[in-house]
Amino acid sequence: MPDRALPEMTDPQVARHALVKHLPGALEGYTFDYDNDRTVYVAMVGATSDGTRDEYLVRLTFLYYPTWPPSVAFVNPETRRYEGVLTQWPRISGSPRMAFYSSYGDAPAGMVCNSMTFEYYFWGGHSPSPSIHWKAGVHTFAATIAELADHLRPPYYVGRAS
Amino acid sequence: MANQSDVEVHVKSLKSGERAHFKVPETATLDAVWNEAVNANHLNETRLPEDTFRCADGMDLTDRLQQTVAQVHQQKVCTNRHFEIKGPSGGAHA
Repeated sequence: MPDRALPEMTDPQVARHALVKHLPGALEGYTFDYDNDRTVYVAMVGATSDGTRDEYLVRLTFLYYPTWPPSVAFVNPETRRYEGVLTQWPRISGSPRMAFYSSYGDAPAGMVCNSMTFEYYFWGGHSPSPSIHWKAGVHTFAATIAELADHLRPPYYVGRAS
Repeated sequence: MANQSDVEVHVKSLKSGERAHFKVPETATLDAVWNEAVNANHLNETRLPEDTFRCADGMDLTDRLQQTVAQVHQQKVCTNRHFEIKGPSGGAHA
Protein backbone atom coordinates (compact mmCIF):
# COMPACT_ATOMS: atom_id res chain seq x y z
CA MET A 1 0.00 0.00 0.00
CA PRO A 2 1.22 3.54 -0.67
CA ASP A 3 1.67 6.00 2.18
CA ARG A 4 -1.43 7.84 1.07
CA ALA A 5 -4.11 7.53 -1.56
CA LEU A 6 -2.77 7.69 -5.07
CA PRO A 7 -3.99 10.60 -7.17
CA GLU A 8 -6.36 10.18 -10.06
CA MET A 9 -4.52 9.13 -13.20
CA THR A 10 -4.12 11.72 -15.90
CA ASP A 11 -6.37 11.35 -18.92
CA PRO A 12 -4.23 9.09 -21.13
CA GLN A 13 -4.51 11.42 -24.09
CA VAL A 14 -3.33 14.37 -22.00
CA ALA A 15 -0.44 12.38 -20.56
CA ARG A 16 0.63 11.13 -23.98
CA HIS A 17 0.46 14.63 -25.43
CA ALA A 18 2.61 16.09 -22.64
CA LEU A 19 5.11 13.26 -22.83
CA VAL A 20 5.56 13.60 -26.59
CA LYS A 21 5.83 17.39 -26.30
CA HIS A 22 8.56 17.16 -23.65
CA LEU A 23 10.42 14.22 -25.09
CA PRO A 24 12.84 16.11 -27.40
CA GLY A 25 14.06 18.43 -24.65
CA ALA A 26 14.35 15.67 -22.08
CA LEU A 27 15.99 12.95 -24.14
CA GLU A 28 18.18 14.73 -26.66
CA GLY A 29 21.35 12.68 -26.97
CA TYR A 30 19.90 9.55 -25.35
CA THR A 31 18.92 6.28 -26.93
CA PHE A 32 15.33 5.56 -26.02
CA ASP A 33 12.23 3.66 -27.05
CA TYR A 34 8.71 5.00 -26.58
CA ASP A 35 5.88 2.48 -26.62
CA ASN A 36 3.36 5.13 -27.74
CA ASP A 37 1.40 4.61 -24.55
CA ARG A 38 3.08 6.43 -21.66
CA THR A 39 6.14 4.25 -21.15
CA VAL A 40 9.64 5.21 -22.25
CA TYR A 41 12.76 3.07 -21.93
CA VAL A 42 16.00 5.03 -21.75
CA ALA A 43 19.51 3.60 -22.04
CA MET A 44 21.71 5.28 -19.44
CA VAL A 45 25.35 4.77 -18.57
CA GLY A 46 26.93 4.92 -15.13
CA ALA A 47 30.51 6.20 -15.26
CA THR A 48 32.94 6.06 -12.36
CA SER A 49 35.92 8.30 -11.82
CA ASP A 50 38.26 5.46 -12.83
CA GLY A 51 36.59 5.11 -16.22
CA THR A 52 34.36 2.10 -15.58
CA ARG A 53 31.13 2.28 -17.56
CA ASP A 54 27.99 0.33 -16.70
CA GLU A 55 24.90 0.21 -18.89
CA TYR A 56 21.39 0.43 -17.46
CA LEU A 57 17.88 0.47 -18.81
CA VAL A 58 15.57 2.95 -17.11
CA ARG A 59 11.81 2.65 -17.43
CA LEU A 60 9.77 5.82 -17.10
CA THR A 61 5.98 5.60 -16.89
CA PHE A 62 3.72 8.60 -17.18
CA LEU A 63 0.35 7.59 -15.78
CA TYR A 64 0.06 10.73 -13.64
CA TYR A 65 2.06 13.08 -15.85
CA PRO A 66 2.44 16.05 -16.07
CA THR A 67 0.66 16.76 -12.79
CA TRP A 68 3.14 14.40 -11.16
CA PRO A 69 6.60 13.26 -12.23
CA PRO A 70 7.10 9.94 -14.00
CA SER A 71 7.56 6.68 -12.15
CA VAL A 72 11.15 5.50 -12.48
CA ALA A 73 12.56 1.99 -12.28
CA PHE A 74 15.71 0.25 -13.42
CA VAL A 75 14.74 -2.85 -15.36
CA ASN A 76 16.21 -5.92 -16.98
CA PRO A 77 17.53 -4.70 -20.35
CA GLU A 78 16.60 -8.01 -21.99
CA THR A 79 13.04 -8.42 -20.75
CA ARG A 80 12.37 -4.77 -19.92
CA ARG A 81 10.71 -5.97 -16.75
CA TYR A 82 11.33 -4.77 -13.24
CA GLU A 83 12.87 -7.65 -11.31
CA GLY A 84 14.25 -5.96 -8.22
CA VAL A 85 17.67 -7.40 -8.99
CA LEU A 86 20.41 -5.46 -7.24
CA THR A 87 22.86 -5.56 -10.14
CA GLN A 88 20.31 -3.91 -12.44
CA TRP A 89 20.40 -0.87 -10.16
CA PRO A 90 23.18 1.66 -9.60
CA ARG A 91 24.99 2.34 -6.35
CA ILE A 92 25.86 5.91 -5.40
CA SER A 93 27.59 7.55 -2.47
CA GLY A 94 27.59 11.02 -0.97
CA SER A 95 24.47 12.48 -2.56
CA PRO A 96 22.41 14.85 -0.42
CA ARG A 97 19.33 14.42 -2.61
CA MET A 98 18.99 10.97 -4.15
CA ALA A 99 19.16 7.31 -3.21
CA PHE A 100 18.45 4.14 -5.19
CA TYR A 101 16.58 1.16 -3.73
CA SER A 102 16.06 -1.91 -5.91
CA SER A 103 13.17 -2.76 -3.58
CA TYR A 104 11.47 -0.51 -1.09
CA GLY A 105 8.57 -1.52 1.12
CA ASP A 106 5.40 -1.84 -0.91
CA ALA A 107 6.63 0.30 -3.77
CA PRO A 108 5.81 -1.72 -6.89
CA ALA A 109 9.14 -1.25 -8.69
CA GLY A 110 11.79 -0.11 -6.28
CA MET A 111 12.46 3.51 -5.43
CA VAL A 112 14.54 6.29 -6.85
CA CYS A 113 14.27 8.52 -3.82
CA ASN A 114 14.19 12.02 -5.28
CA SER A 115 11.44 14.60 -5.63
CA MET A 116 11.55 14.40 -9.43
CA THR A 117 10.08 10.86 -9.30
CA PHE A 118 6.51 9.75 -8.58
CA GLU A 119 7.49 7.13 -6.01
CA TYR A 120 9.06 9.74 -3.75
CA TYR A 121 5.65 11.24 -2.96
CA PHE A 122 3.66 8.07 -2.34
CA TRP A 123 5.99 5.43 -0.91
CA GLY A 124 8.83 7.37 0.64
CA GLY A 125 7.04 8.77 3.70
CA HIS A 126 8.13 12.26 2.71
CA SER A 127 6.67 15.69 3.33
CA PRO A 128 8.78 17.74 0.96
CA SER A 129 9.16 21.49 1.33
CA PRO A 130 7.60 23.56 -1.48
CA SER A 131 11.03 24.50 -2.82
CA ILE A 132 11.88 20.94 -3.86
CA HIS A 133 8.38 19.82 -4.84
CA TRP A 134 7.56 18.86 -8.44
CA LYS A 135 5.71 21.78 -10.02
CA ALA A 136 3.43 21.00 -12.94
CA GLY A 137 3.89 23.65 -15.60
CA VAL A 138 7.47 24.29 -14.50
CA HIS A 139 9.05 20.87 -14.41
CA THR A 140 9.03 18.35 -17.21
CA PHE A 141 10.64 14.93 -17.10
CA ALA A 142 13.82 16.63 -18.30
CA ALA A 143 14.32 17.34 -14.59
CA THR A 144 14.00 13.64 -13.78
CA ILE A 145 16.52 12.68 -16.45
CA ALA A 146 18.90 15.43 -15.31
CA GLU A 147 18.87 14.16 -11.73
CA LEU A 148 19.51 10.60 -12.87
CA ALA A 149 22.34 11.75 -15.14
CA ASP A 150 23.92 13.77 -12.33
CA HIS A 151 23.98 10.66 -10.14
CA LEU A 152 25.34 8.31 -12.76
CA ARG A 153 28.68 10.10 -12.91
CA PRO A 154 31.33 11.31 -10.47
CA PRO A 155 31.29 12.25 -7.70
CA TYR A 156 28.25 10.11 -6.82
CA TYR A 157 28.31 7.03 -9.01
CA VAL A 158 30.18 4.08 -7.48
CA GLY A 159 29.14 1.11 -9.64
CA ARG A 160 26.46 -1.51 -9.81
CA ALA A 161 24.64 -2.34 -6.62
CA SER A 162 25.61 -5.68 -5.14
CA MET B 1 23.38 44.63 -34.69
CA ALA B 2 25.91 42.11 -33.46
CA ASN B 3 29.11 43.51 -32.00
CA GLN B 4 32.46 41.99 -32.92
CA SER B 5 33.04 41.06 -29.29
CA ASP B 6 29.68 39.32 -28.94
CA VAL B 7 29.76 35.58 -28.40
CA GLU B 8 26.99 33.00 -28.61
CA VAL B 9 25.97 31.25 -25.41
CA HIS B 10 23.75 28.22 -24.99
CA VAL B 11 21.64 27.78 -21.86
CA LYS B 12 19.49 24.76 -21.05
CA SER B 13 16.91 24.69 -18.30
CA LEU B 14 17.15 21.36 -16.53
CA LYS B 15 13.69 22.01 -15.10
CA SER B 16 11.93 22.15 -18.42
CA GLY B 17 14.45 20.80 -20.94
CA GLU B 18 14.07 24.00 -22.97
CA ARG B 19 17.13 25.62 -24.55
CA ALA B 20 18.07 29.20 -25.34
CA HIS B 21 20.78 30.37 -27.72
CA PHE B 22 21.71 34.03 -27.90
CA LYS B 23 24.62 36.42 -28.22
CA VAL B 24 26.05 38.49 -25.40
CA PRO B 25 29.06 40.80 -25.10
CA GLU B 26 32.15 39.04 -23.82
CA THR B 27 32.02 41.53 -20.96
CA ALA B 28 28.66 40.21 -19.74
CA THR B 29 28.80 38.49 -16.39
CA LEU B 30 27.49 34.97 -15.98
CA ASP B 31 24.84 36.44 -13.72
CA ALA B 32 23.70 38.64 -16.60
CA VAL B 33 23.72 35.66 -18.96
CA TRP B 34 21.51 33.78 -16.51
CA ASN B 35 19.09 36.70 -16.24
CA GLU B 36 18.95 37.05 -20.00
CA ALA B 37 18.32 33.33 -20.45
CA VAL B 38 15.29 33.20 -18.16
CA ASN B 39 13.58 36.30 -19.56
CA ALA B 40 10.47 36.19 -21.68
CA ASN B 41 12.43 36.29 -24.96
CA HIS B 42 14.14 33.02 -24.18
CA LEU B 43 13.28 30.41 -21.53
CA ASN B 44 10.56 32.50 -19.93
CA GLU B 45 10.96 30.96 -16.49
CA THR B 46 11.36 32.41 -13.02
CA ARG B 47 14.83 32.51 -11.51
CA LEU B 48 14.46 31.18 -7.98
CA PRO B 49 16.88 31.65 -5.06
CA GLU B 50 17.49 27.90 -4.88
CA ASP B 51 18.36 27.59 -8.57
CA THR B 52 21.95 27.13 -9.62
CA PHE B 53 23.87 27.99 -12.78
CA ARG B 54 26.47 25.57 -14.02
CA CYS B 55 28.44 24.29 -16.99
CA ALA B 56 26.92 21.58 -19.12
CA ASP B 57 29.38 19.13 -17.55
CA GLY B 58 27.86 19.85 -14.14
CA MET B 59 30.54 22.22 -12.81
CA ASP B 60 28.85 24.65 -10.42
CA LEU B 61 29.33 28.33 -11.24
CA THR B 62 27.85 29.88 -8.11
CA ASP B 63 31.20 31.38 -7.12
CA ARG B 64 31.84 32.76 -10.60
CA LEU B 65 28.58 34.58 -11.32
CA GLN B 66 30.26 37.98 -11.22
CA GLN B 67 32.94 36.91 -13.67
CA THR B 68 32.54 37.74 -17.34
CA VAL B 69 32.07 35.32 -20.18
CA ALA B 70 35.56 36.22 -21.39
CA GLN B 71 37.13 35.63 -17.96
CA VAL B 72 35.71 32.15 -17.49
CA HIS B 73 36.67 31.27 -21.05
CA GLN B 74 40.25 32.34 -20.32
CA GLN B 75 40.16 30.11 -17.24
CA LYS B 76 39.17 27.15 -19.47
CA VAL B 77 35.81 26.92 -17.75
CA CYS B 78 32.76 26.05 -19.90
CA THR B 79 34.85 26.67 -22.98
CA ASN B 80 32.00 25.67 -25.29
CA ARG B 81 29.77 28.23 -23.54
CA HIS B 82 27.07 25.66 -22.84
CA PHE B 83 25.40 26.38 -19.52
CA GLU B 84 22.59 24.83 -17.49
CA ILE B 85 20.08 26.09 -14.97
CA LYS B 86 19.31 23.55 -12.31
CA GLY B 87 16.39 23.73 -9.92
CA PRO B 88 16.43 22.25 -6.44
CA SER B 89 15.28 18.74 -5.64
CA GLY B 90 15.39 16.59 -2.56
CA GLY B 91 15.50 13.00 -1.47
CA ALA B 92 17.26 10.54 0.74
CA HIS B 93 20.95 10.92 1.45
CA ALA B 94 22.98 8.20 -0.22
